[in-house]
Amino acid sequence: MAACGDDLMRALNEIEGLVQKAARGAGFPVGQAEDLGRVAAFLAGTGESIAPVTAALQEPISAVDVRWQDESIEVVQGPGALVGPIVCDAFAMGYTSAVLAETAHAALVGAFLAQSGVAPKWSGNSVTFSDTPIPGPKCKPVAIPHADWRIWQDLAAKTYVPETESSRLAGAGAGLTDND
Amino acid sequence: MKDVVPPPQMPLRPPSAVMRLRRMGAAFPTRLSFLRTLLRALAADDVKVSRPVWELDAAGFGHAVYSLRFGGFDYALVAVSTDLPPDMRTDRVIATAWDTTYVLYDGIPDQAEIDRIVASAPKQEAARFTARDLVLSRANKSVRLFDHVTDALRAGRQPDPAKVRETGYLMRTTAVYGNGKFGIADRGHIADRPGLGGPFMAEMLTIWLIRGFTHDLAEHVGGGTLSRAVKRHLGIGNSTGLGMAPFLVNHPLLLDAWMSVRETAIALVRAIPGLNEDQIGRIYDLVARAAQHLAEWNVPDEIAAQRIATLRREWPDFAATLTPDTLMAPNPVDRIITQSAQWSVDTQELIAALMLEPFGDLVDGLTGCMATSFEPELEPSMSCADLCALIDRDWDWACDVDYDAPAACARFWYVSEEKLEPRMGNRHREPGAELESPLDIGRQVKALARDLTASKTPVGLFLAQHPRHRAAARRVQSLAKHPYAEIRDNLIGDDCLPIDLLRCKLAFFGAGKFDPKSDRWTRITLAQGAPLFDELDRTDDWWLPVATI
Repeated sequence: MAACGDDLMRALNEIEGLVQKAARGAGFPVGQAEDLGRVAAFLAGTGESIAPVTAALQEPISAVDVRWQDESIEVVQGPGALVGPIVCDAFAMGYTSAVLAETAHAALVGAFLAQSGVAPKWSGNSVTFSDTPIPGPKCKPVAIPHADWRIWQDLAAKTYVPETESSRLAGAGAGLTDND
Repeated sequence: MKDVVPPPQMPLRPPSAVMRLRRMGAAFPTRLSFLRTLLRALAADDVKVSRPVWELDAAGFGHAVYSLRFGGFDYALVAVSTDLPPDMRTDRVIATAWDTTYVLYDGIPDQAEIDRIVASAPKQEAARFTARDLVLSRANKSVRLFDHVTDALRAGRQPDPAKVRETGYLMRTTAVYGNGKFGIADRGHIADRPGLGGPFMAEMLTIWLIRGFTHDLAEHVGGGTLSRAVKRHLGIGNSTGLGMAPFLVNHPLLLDAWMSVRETAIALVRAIPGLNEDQIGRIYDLVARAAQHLAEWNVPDEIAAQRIATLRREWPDFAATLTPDTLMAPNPVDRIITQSAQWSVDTQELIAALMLEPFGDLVDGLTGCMATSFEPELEPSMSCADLCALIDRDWDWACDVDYDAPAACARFWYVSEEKLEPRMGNRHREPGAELESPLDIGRQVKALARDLTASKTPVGLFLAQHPRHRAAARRVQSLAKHPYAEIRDNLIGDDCLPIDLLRCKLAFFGAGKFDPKSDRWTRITLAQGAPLFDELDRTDDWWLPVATI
């Protein structure tokens, strides 16, 4: 990777892939890492800030406590990267509102909902949905702030296995030169 | 409006048979393979390739630009040839320098863009690219053949046909990057364009253009002209390692699309009620061609060589069953494919691939269904009982495995810190298993099954309590709708051979002459026998190319 002091233009596929790896590096489960990657690409492609993604990646992982009521769910606790998919699932299951424990999660949960096709409508910590059309992401290069990219890279690096010469040879299964 | 009656179709071969690694690892290219599809599209669009820039010195170092207009858009290949010291030449993806490097460019590059690419392409992963760059690639010479060919041309001769047949290409690509890597354009940028919407079409276009450049380069350095027959037989080589293996696991709906199309094509030709004389003659020709191809397919790898030997032994026996009576009987293709069960898996797959070849009118249109923009989606309203039933129905191959047994979890996949490339390690002997990549799909689904109870509880509520099963639940639900989406084998077992994954994917690309160098990397040949730049009007008839020199 080239040294980058400036915000480099990134492809959406790069963004999704790196955030997915970063979420794994941060300790989130595979499915939530996949979802967060998709949300990051959605935010980037719709011109929204990706700051909620970076915040979610840096949040300590804790147990989720969600209360399921007749038509609403109440999130008592849990990190945004785990709460976002749960709220999306709830709306897909017919629940019509959700109350978050953390105001700070609103942007991320809103992004999860929008990415799943639900236009969020907020009132304080409570979210319902509206009929507002949601613009889809545009496939174009996006400038990602260097600080965010660096955080994603560092977290993704936690999934990488340092190589030894023997593991490199065994793992790739090929020799060092190929001159024929 | 007239109702369109779909053609008759026999049942598809079941995923429980098709999606086993051993069978996937016996895949052959077909007329549905991506390179074949691309060249048909180029021919249909009457594409002309020109070479507006050729700035190479006498030794062949410098750069060239090829351009074409395809589907209403201009594209260009910028090719850069550099002097590579022998000690830096390696086909491993970890290399840092190459004989030649390439960018497929969106449009016609001006001088500033050419200069940018000439400066950046040789650095490959160490450089950043732009959304005007669609594909990034590099290739190394097959030194023995390249030197022989150029020496022969200098001496006023054509190269030795035996040497051309033995190698079959002047250069091998060691990576062909697309879809956003290193800043190049996302696939979405071109996915709606005519001709480039199918999977890997931009990459295939790049490979075909590189192949033409290798011919031009050899002629330039050798100062002579290669015969068309020699050039047609010179494809483009490729070395592929583990980097490609996780792709099929990480793109289950795409895998389903590829497999479903191929299997649907097989089901369509099985339903053909009878063959005419031309079709029978074509089948005889193809059977003879396959025999020659097998005779010319020589590899040093012991296991691969044994399998080829079995193919060579069985093929005449199979050919002998194709009597005129058999081919003129009702439902002949179905009979042939049904009876192929008596042969080895390799022979079965070769027969299936062959039987598609004469029936382009019937099956080629299916290639429009090989791309997908969809991702697996979770259905949180499904009950846990229904999810249990899906696991019981579709995932016995995963749940019957004891993943605590040392042999069943012997391998782990990981990403190397040094090159960010997928690798495979031995869990019991090497460090790093705690960081393994989640390619253990079967083990994940078995863990889900263990925590699941057959209740009316919606999956969404279950996952709120068991977040770690989200990915597995999504895959179980996806497989119910996309039956060819999963490789139905234990990818962390000690008997998992990554080469099987590679061969399946490469066969879909159109690769032949698989030449495994271990259980985890292989050489192949692409575009051998394919039309040259000025031959796109030639008949689309280069399945399993055989030497004509």
